Amino acid sequence: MNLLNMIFLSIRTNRLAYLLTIIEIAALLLTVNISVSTIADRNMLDKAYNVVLSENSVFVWDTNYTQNKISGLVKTKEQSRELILNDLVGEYKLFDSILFDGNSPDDVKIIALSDEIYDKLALPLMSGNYSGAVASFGSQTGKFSYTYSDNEAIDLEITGILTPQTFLPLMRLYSTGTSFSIKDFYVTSDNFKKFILTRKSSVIGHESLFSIEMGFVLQFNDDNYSKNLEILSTKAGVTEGTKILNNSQKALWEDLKDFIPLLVCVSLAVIIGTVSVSIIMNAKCEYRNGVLWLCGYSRRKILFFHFFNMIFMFVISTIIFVCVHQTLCLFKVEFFTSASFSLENILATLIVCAVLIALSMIIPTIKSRKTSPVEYLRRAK
Amino acid sequence: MIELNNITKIYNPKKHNRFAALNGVSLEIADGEFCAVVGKSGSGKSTLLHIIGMLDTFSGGKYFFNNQDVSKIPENAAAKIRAREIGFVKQDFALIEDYSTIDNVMLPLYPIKASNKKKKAMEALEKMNITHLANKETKTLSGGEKQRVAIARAIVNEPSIILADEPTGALDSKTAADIMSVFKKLNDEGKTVIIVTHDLGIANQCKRIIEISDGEIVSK
Repeated sequence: MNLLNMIFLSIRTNRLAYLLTIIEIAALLLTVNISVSTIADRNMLDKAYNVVLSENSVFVWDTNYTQNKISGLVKTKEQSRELILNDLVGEYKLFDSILFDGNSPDDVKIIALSDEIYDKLALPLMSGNYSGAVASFGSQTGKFSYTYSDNEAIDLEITGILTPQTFLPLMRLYSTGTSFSIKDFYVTSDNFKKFILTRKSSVIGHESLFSIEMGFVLQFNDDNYSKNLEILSTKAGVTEGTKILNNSQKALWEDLKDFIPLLVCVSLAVIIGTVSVSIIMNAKCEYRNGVLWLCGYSRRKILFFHFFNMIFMFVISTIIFVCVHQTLCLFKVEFFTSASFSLENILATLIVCAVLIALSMIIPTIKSRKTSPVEYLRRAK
Repeated sequence: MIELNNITKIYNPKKHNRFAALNGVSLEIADGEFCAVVGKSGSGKSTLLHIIGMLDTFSGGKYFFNNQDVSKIPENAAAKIRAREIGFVKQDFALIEDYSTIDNVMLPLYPIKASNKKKKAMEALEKMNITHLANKETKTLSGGEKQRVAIARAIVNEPSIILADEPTGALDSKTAADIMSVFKKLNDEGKTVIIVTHDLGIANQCKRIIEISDGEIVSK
């Protein structure tokens, strides 16, 4: 009997068991993928900033901007920043983001990051790469010219499309505290309907159109770090880079902790369910296995039918999981859009499936070794 | 050629309910014989048949099948020999009831990767005069029809040996007579037929009677 015929006949006689198991496995795959994506999302948050938030770096934000503007001391954010930077000693590097907002709410926003931060990005992409700019509207790629006023345009090359619901790096502070973590430097892409993320070096010549964000990172040498930290502390809000990274680990773990009970519960339920169904289905097939033994099928071949049965169920579950996921993403159901199809997700899916299949084959394998298939024929059908 | 030398079969050898089903059975069955193995219930008839058919292993002794030492044949090879050389017929027919007749008959053709499976299956059904049942589900057939399907399956690979365990046990006398005539015809074609039965009427239709009692051969 060929494999597919046997599987279809098995499905016909065990419809409910198949249906329940397939739904269970699909639910587990969805949970695993969301968890993996969540972990990946959280892990990638600090990749971009790790290079700049080193031992000799500080994050600075202007705590006096409003007062200074009212008093007339400064007129723009750029002037306010100059005020903070003008007393610094020695050399330093500045990392920040600038934003072009467009003339109307529906316009494309262009977010330009310091090149070092952009080059370390690991945001999930639906397609393409980071070599040019990444966009989040339609599927447009290639050279892109954005006209921001009559006869004025900025040229960019779109080389990638961001996945929806991504965390965007932007030093836009919503927190008024000082115990920053990496999460404070990101906003979700939902805040921007259409945007392009690019390097600051791509917008050279058009900086006057961009407005700076409120925070920025300064990186000093060993020699001038302490002195400049002292100077900055008198003029602006300051927090050290290493402190931010330490806070980030705690903050990211807090986020992940919420998923763990869900993942553990769903995993346990599915493991018990799948293994139970495998044992029951194997028991129901005992008589059939006895007949196959009679007809010249070896124990290995008989077990292989069961194994292939399980593989078939997992393939169907994966297809259902992908279809359900895509449908839920279409309706922008937030919880589900965080599952994506990166290499980590695919590997996690394969590992989960392999472990479940292995677990569900243990008892049938032990049973087939201990019991002669001819015994199945002796027992009642 | 089947040669059994001092075969023993012990169930649960290491447990408290250890039971010796066969106790030093020695037997030779030549090609083309038509034998009946008779004995009371629990005498070891079915165990003997299962060992002859390589469905079960034995605890001691030697078994030569066509001059091959069976204890040295690996399981996968033994399975192929079962498919190719041995046909089984059981009292309860041993059919997969959810499959059609032809699907049941084709079962032994897959392990040996036979070609033209459907054609061979139809030929076997034709020999049993049941081609009209080919696409019917086995569960809808009568007892006599099911046993004919089982015999068709047993002969589809043209095996040299047919082993039947109480093949008429679940049938009425007329159907039982029909089935026995089928076995006689198969024996006339040169196949070795061994029938296990507790019915002396059936046994007397065979050319040789082997009597077994309490796991030992009483007469050959």
